Amino acid sequence: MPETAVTCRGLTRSFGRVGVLRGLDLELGRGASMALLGANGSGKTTLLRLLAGLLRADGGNSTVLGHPLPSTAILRRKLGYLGHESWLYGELSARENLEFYCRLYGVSNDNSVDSLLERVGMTRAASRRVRSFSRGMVQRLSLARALLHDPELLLLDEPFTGLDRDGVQLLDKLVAEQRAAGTSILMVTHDLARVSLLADEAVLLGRGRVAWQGQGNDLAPERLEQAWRDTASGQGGSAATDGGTQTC
Amino acid sequence: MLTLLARDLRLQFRRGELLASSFVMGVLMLLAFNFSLDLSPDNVAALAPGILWVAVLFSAGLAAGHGFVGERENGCMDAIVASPLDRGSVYLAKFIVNLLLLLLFETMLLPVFALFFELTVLPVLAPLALVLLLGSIGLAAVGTLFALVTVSGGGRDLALPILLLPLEVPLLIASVKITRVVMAGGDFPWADDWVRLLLGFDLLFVVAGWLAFEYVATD
Repeated sequence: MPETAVTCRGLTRSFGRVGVLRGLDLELGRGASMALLGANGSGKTTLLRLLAGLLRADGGNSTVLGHPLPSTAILRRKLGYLGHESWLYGELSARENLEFYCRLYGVSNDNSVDSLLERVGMTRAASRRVRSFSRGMVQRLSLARALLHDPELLLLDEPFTGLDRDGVQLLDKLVAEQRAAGTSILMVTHDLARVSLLADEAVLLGRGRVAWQGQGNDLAPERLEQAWRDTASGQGGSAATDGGTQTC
Repeated sequence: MLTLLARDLRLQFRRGELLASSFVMGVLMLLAFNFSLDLSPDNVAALAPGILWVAVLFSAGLAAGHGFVGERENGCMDAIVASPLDRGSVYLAKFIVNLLLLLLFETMLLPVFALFFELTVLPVLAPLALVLLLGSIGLAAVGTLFALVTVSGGGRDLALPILLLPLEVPLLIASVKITRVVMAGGDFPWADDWVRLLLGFDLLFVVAGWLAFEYVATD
C-alpha cells in the first residue's frame, strides 16, 4: 500500500489562456486529512476535479492511492467526491438516488441505504423526491452519496455550504468518523475556524501553486488568517507563522 | 451499463415530456407538409419519404438534447464520469436510450404519417421498419455524441442543431432514397450504395462516440 494518498508533481492545468494550476506540488499522506485553502480562482476546485478524474491535467505527474492519473475505473471506485453540485437526480427520491449510486459503485444494497439515510438524518424524507428538498437536506444526502461506497480518499469541496447548525455538527461527526476509520481527506474550505478541528494539515493555494503549508499550531484560525493575508498581498517570508512554510 | 439504462428509461418515462414534445413536433410537421404541398396519388410516393425523414430528423434532434436531461441538473454528468463505470459503456447506454425513444416515437408517428398521406404502409412494414431502424441508429449515435459535447460545454440545446444537422445530411439523403425504393413495393435494397452509406454512417458514429466519450467528458 502506498504511503501517500495523493502526490502531485508540477501539476498544470489551463482553461483557454488562463493558467489555473501552474506547477503545483502537493503530498497528502495515507489516512491524513488536509484542508485546502485559498482565494477564489486559486485552483482548489480544479485540483479536486483533476484528482477525481473529471478533468485531465495539461502537464505534471500525479498519483492517487498509488494509481497514476488519468484515473481508471479501479481508482474511481475508491474515491468519494462532494462538490459544489449535489450530483443528485431531482426526479428521484432520496432512497432511489442512493440505490442508483449503490448499483453504480457495486455496493450491496441490503442495509447500506437505510443505514446511510439514518446516519445523515434523512430517514423520514427517504421517499420524497430530491427536487422538493432544502439546500441543507440536499447537502446531507450528497454526503451520504459520497460515503456510500466507503471511499479510501474523500474529496470535499466546501462541504459546509448550505448546512444549518445541526448539519454542521453532523458533518463534523462524519468527518471525524472517516478520519478515525483511516480515510484520507482533502477538503476545500473557507471556514478557517473549523480547519484545526477537521484537518491534520493545511495548504494555502495562490497563483496555482502551494503558497503556504502548515500543521499543528499553524492551524489556529488567527495564524491561518495571517497566512491568507500574506499570500493575498503577495508577501514572501514566514513572518506570519511560526511553523508554517511560505513556499512562494 | 444496465443500471444507467434502467435509470434513464425511468427518468424519461416519469417526465414523459420528451416523447410528448417529439410526437407533437412530428405531427405538426406532417400536418404542415400535408397542407402546403399539392399532393396527388402521382407525386405522393415521391414526396412522402422526404417528408417522413424531415419529421424524424428534427424530432430526433430535439430528443438528443433531452437524452441527457437527467445529467443536466445538479452536475449529474460529473457523477457518471467520476463513477467506476467504463466510460465507453456510458456512451452506449445513452445511445441505446436515445435509440429506443426514437423508435418508440417513430412507431407512434408512422400511423399518423400513413393517415395524413393516405398511404398503405402495412404491405411494406418490414422493410420500412428496417430503414427506420438503420436511420435511427445513425441519428441516435451522432445525436448522443453531440448532445454530450453541448452538455459538457454548457452550450445547452441551442448549439445542438447547428452541430447536428449538417452532419446528418448524408444519413438523410440515404434514408430518403432507400425509403422511396421500399415504399414503391420493392424488397430491401441490400446491394444499394445508399444502404452501404447508411451502414457506414451508423458504424462510424457508434464507434466514434464510444471512443471519444472519455475525451469529451473530461475536458
